[in-house]
Amino acid sequence: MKTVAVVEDNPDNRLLVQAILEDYYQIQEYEDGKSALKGLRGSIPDIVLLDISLPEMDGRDVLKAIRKDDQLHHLPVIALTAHAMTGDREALLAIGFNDYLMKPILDEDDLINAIKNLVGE
Amino acid sequence: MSQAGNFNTSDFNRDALTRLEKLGGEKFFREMIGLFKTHVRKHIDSAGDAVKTNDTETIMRSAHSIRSSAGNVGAVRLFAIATDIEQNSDKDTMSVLKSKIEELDRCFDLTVQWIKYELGERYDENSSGS
Repeated sequence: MKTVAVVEDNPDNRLLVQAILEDYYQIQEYEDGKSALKGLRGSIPDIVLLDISLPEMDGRDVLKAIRKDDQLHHLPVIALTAHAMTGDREALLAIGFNDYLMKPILDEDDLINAIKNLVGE
Repeated sequence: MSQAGNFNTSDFNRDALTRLEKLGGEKFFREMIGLFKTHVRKHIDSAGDAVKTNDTETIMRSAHSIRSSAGNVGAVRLFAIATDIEQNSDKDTMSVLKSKIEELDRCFDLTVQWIKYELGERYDENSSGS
């Protein structure tokens, strides 16, 4: 079973993502960017779901650190964001995210398919 | 305007609760509701405190967090108020923000009452989601 790392500060969002994915993937959970970077280096997942609005170190900064890291730079990273501004998707893909999903996640298949597209079953 | 109990149905989306119920079973559902209550309460209080110190960054971040949680449980009006606060926190005066946060607070209380109404005897008054 492949492993999905979820970096998200909202506990209810973490629980929701876990409920959607737990039958298909192993889940690693982190509630902030710094603990995520430390944890990811210790246990490298197959893909990362990364909230953009994290406290202290936001999702863009976490992505930059991932892309610069020798062990982590190859990881597919999906942005999770509650922002709904025009051009967000393009901007996030341009800085190195592999995909983008809006929160709240209203359709479980959107999340599952986005992961499948990047890492398979 | 249609009503369910004393609630304006356009302020809430019952389908969101139904989806959560189906998604992860009873334990998960209760935990989600508990987390919604504690997490949103915490962020409303945080935003209220931030008004006193003119801290628009904290107000914006709290509203953003509330918005996300409101969307999960179908709290349509709570979502809309939080969105307004998040998007205008750098433009509104503190007096306006204070008024909007008070409205958010009232709407949160109403949302909890709505959830209680919808769940009936299944509602757990003391659930904290932890």
